[in-house]
Amino acid sequence: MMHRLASVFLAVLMAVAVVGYVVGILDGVPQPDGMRPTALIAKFDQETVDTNPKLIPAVSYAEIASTPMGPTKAWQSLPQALPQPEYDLYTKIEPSKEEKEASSKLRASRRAFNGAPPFIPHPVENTSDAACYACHGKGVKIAGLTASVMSHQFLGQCVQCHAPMAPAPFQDIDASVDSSFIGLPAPKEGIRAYQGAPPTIPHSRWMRENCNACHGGPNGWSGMESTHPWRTNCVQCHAPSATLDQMPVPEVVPMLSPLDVVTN
Amino acid sequence: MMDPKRRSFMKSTAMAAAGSMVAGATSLPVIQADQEVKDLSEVDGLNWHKAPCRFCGTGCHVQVGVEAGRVVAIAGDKAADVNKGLLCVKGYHVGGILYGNDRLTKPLLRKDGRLTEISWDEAIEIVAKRIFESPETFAFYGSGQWTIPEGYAAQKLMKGGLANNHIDPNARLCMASAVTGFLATYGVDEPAGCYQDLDECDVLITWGNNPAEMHPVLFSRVTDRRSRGETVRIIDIGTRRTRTTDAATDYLEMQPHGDVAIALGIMHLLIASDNYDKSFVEKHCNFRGPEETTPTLQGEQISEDEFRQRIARYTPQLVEELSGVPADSIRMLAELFGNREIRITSLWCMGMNQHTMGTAINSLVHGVHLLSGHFGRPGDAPTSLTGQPSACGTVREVGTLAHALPGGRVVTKPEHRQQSEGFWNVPAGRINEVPGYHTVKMFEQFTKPTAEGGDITTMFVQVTNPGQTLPNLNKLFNAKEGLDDKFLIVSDVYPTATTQLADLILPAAMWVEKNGMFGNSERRTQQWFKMVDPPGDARDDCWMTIAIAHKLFEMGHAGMKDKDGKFIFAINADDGKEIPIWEFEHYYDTNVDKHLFEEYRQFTTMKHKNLAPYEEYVKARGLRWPVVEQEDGSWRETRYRFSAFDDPFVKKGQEFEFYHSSSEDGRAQIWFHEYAPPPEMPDQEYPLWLCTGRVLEHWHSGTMTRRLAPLNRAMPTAYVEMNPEDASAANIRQGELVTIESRRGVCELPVWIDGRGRPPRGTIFVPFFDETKLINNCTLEAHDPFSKQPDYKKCAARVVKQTVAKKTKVKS
Amino acid sequence: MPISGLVVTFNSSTDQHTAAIESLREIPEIDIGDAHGSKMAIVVDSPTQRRDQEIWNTVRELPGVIDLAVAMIAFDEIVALDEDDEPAENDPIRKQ
Repeated sequence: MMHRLASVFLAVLMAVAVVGYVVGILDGVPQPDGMRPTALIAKFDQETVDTNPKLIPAVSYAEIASTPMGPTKAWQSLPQALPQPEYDLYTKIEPSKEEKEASSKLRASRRAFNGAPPFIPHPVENTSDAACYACHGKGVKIAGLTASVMSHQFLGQCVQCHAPMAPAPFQDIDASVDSSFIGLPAPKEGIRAYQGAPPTIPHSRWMRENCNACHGGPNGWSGMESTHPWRTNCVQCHAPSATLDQMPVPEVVPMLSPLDVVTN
Repeated sequence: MMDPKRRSFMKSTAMAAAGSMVAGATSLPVIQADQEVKDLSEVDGLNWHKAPCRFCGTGCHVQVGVEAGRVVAIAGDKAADVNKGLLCVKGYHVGGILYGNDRLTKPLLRKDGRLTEISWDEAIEIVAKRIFESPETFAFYGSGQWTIPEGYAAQKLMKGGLANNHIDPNARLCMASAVTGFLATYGVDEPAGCYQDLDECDVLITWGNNPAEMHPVLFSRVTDRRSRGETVRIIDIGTRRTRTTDAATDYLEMQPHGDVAIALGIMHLLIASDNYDKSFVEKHCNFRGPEETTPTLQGEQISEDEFRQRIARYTPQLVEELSGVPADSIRMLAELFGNREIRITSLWCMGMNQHTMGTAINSLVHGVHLLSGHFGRPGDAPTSLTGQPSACGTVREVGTLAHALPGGRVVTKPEHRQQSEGFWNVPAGRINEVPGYHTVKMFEQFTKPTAEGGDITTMFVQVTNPGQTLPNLNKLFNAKEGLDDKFLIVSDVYPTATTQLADLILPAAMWVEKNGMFGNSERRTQQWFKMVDPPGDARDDCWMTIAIAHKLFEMGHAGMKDKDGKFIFAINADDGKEIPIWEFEHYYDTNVDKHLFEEYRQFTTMKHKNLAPYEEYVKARGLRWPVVEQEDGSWRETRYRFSAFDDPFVKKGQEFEFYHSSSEDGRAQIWFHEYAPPPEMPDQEYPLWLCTGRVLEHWHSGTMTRRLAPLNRAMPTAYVEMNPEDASAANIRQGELVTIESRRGVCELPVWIDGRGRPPRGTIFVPFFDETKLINNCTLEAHDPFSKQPDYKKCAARVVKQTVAKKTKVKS
Repeated sequence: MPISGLVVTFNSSTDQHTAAIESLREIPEIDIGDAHGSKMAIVVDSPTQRRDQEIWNTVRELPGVIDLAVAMIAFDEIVALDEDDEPAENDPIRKQ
């Protein structure tokens, strides 16, 4: 019984397939009639491509190398979340002196002097600020790489201050310069009034308002993390520098004159 | 105690370890990952001083970190009103410009074709002798990067000393049309508004302007308002898509010269729809058109009816035809201008200035703002930007132009000459009444053989690089080669395209290696002090001018003496004795800048461009003129000119007053100019528009920025930007080396398809910063009839694939 | 009595710093080694750690010197601080 039913089903299936094939041939499949161009030489209907975000315009082989390939516009517009490792605020972090030093050396290699906006260590397409922000807004870890967190408020035009690597067509050009400029090195640590006292902030806070960008959070700068990231108000304990923050600094801190005590 | 054997073993091991590190090392780059990281306490020797940035005309202030006599760090100056603590990628790295290893450090004289080191005494004597022998064939080519005292000294040497008006600056190539536009419209040069307009405008229109790359600090001042939740509509009118377009709400792509038609079209619609500001126009404006036979900047007054009749032709349809911008977009612009509830700021720079109709388009855009009443309120302003740090301060205000005298005066007016002779205390009649040669003419006369009438034989170039930045270089610069009686003196900080043909090279001090003052795009005068020593024998440009003058004085040149027989640059010490400032070791015995500035200040009140005493600028992050002394002895700067609410010179009871009006009735002029096509347009032979310009990372001819590692790495080469379809049609690939050809010359460049900007089909763009790829071999020297400023933005060119060219050569 | 191999880095090629190198030669504890580009190897053999520190500071201060790096230190006989190395009066950390 089962056998019979199976062969009937198979026969019906085959019939449908044959009908489908014939209909398929007759319905809209281009015929080599010599009048219509084949798909290979047809020009794209740019309008259709523009209006249907799921269509990707094909390019000639010669253009493949120079054509950006990637997700379709429809896919791009979907919010995507990259899986991120879980972050535990209370994991014990105690970077050693060497780790701290190695970390600041790597950090220093990314800027011309302490205080300079860091270079962008990768080439950038002419992408929008939103593209930068996607990774650098809150930071992200992908394939062993960390996109660092913006240490300042959102500002338009990232490349106004951050110099990228050479544009894609010119990456092989020797861009070395012959210069004797030596930049200000990064500070190693703040000043502690006594052992156990919270250190002062040894750098300017200008454009570094977000302490967590380097000193905490899941995407902080490795080796510079705070040992106590659960505390949220950093300047409660760590004093900034008026000089480095370009506050008005008087030569002498003015004080009231001493009490006028009569001595006998 | 270690035994001696062990000790010597340890020593040799230590030496081997150190030696191996030495052998492996190449030259030391800027901060390396392996470099020492210092404590804060060790960097306590760091001192911070204020200075304006060395680069563009925005006029940001930086804080310069100096340690042990070297600049080691730069920070945005939070006290500066212009940039409020922010900088751009060039500004952050400006400190490195002092430290390229190829700084010029010795005067070099070309002897039998080879450069030889000579002493400063010899160098100054050579220059002075050349001038002494033939003062009238000497020309001084200066710069919008001259400090104010440098420009003033050069101006005085030429016009007040040598009675020679052949002094012109590179700013002629940069903002001369902005000057003529202001003069034609307001009767006085320089903008009425200020950068505060950028904080208050509802609509920002960029006319052929890419501030996102060229004036990034100003542009981000607008776009950052959006981050704070404000709405600003940015309308980009341009010939190619740029980073400014990326931030723009509307992009109107126009044909080259389309801006003239667009401005006329807006005015036509404002009038046709009766939507212009009748009360403002009635009270404060006249209508004006060029004279028929010999047009001048003065023009002739026309009635409003006449203006209506002339402009009636510029319907949205015709404007669409001329500019390529859809008629509906022209209507949209006219409706915006017709709405007086909103504030509109126009920004422009080289797009409208490097234009054979530069004066016309500048006047027309001012006209659009005047006609619509979008003028004189914060946020309502026609704003012209400048490309050099002191194009305004030194060129326009000091008047280092072939026809000008300081403080808005001209050599052709007898009373202006008389006043200048008075301030300079030189005999009456000293100043020559005939204007000298403007830049293009000056170089034509210099590169033309003397026998053929080339009557400039000695040229002194300071703080600029004409060998790279003049248009049509083959004709205007390279032709100098081989002309034995022509002598080119170049003062610069690095070897450049110009020093290649120099007969005498003078090593100059730069930026914070000397005292200085700049004047930026918004009338702001800025001051800084010398912070570090220049390298080797490099010396101040201002000193060079004074030393040459004194050598001429010693040789007995009568012009170097004032009415009382004293040296024209004489400075006396408190004890009455003259300080020998022409000897470099005594140059800093006094503040020469301060003396020159105080003398120059007297000139500035005639055009109400009043400047404060030097000491006021020491205290401030720049002050915008007119700076007027108050009853309490303080000095007040002016943000808005001609508007009663802020300008102290507007008559009481008036809302606006154009008190330097060319019609002498307190009114501004709304001009009419007919559209005319560009002088050279693409044709069969040269089918592409060639546009030139800049990129964010490099400044002008790249002499400074190409010596900064972060910038050079970000933009290592000039390139030709192509539309992908043009490239594909010519079978050209990304990065391929091609030859750009025009009727005047060629230039080899790698192709960047859809590069930094995206040009439409039929247009290519090339930045001019790269001294190894001189696109100005190809550009056109055609210039505006009033401003004499050449058009670098449009000429006809073609792109030639090199493999094809080479193959053809092999076959033939 | 520390022995250390150090690398001196100048801000430009060593042959432009003859004066600084001459003053290095005048320090008896220093032996001068190979030079290449802007770097030069030296060995310091000093009687006390205090003297070692002085030499280090002197070299660091020489005109044109932008970096001084340690290549190797002979740890054999690093003794305690010299006798006169009493904790400074105003150093709160050391006083504890």
